[in-house]
Amino acid sequence: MVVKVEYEEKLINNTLVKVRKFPKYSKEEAEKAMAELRKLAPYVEKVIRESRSELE
Amino acid sequence: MRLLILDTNLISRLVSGSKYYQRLHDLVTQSKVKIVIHDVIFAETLSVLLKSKENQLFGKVDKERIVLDQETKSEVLKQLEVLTSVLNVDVVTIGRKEVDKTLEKVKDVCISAFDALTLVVANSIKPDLIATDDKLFRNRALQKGYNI
Repeated sequence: MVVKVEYEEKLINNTLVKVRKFPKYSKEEAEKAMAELRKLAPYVEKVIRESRSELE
Repeated sequence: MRLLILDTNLISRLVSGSKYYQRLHDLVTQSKVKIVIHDVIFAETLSVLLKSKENQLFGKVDKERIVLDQETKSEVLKQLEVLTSVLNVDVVTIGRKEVDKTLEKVKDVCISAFDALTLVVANSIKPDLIATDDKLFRNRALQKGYNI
């Protein structure tokens, strides 16, 4: 998986930092991504719980 | 607007629309809260989402490797990028200088390198709050005067 990343400089709290630049997404793309990630929510909890129990 | 730095678990829950983080989601979309993470946390969030996707598809997680195909991995990355953009999260890039500072934080606060990077970003942009669900990190950072 090759990930192409672009950056831009931005002023956050009066500090100039370099941040990732994301493309503008359409409303449809945003809604689709939100719906897909929402389905993952219970599995995210499970993964977090399992990784924590491994550390303990 | 309040400036907030999140750790991996919290940003993973926020982008996946966890009902426990609905209030924070609303504050972000109302521009009352601005979230900043560093790009290592962005990468770690992708790792959590990929493992979650495996769990969703196969009902278990292979701890040694990610068994998803390239297309699915790319889809999950795109979804994370879209949500990061929609929620207007700033993903701050870490350079060599910040990595050196991370070593100092690890020694000073006695925390993981990921948490140390969070403190390095915090030192730079002075957020109103750092949010984490890691009690150890929270306690050690509080002892060192960070606003957790």
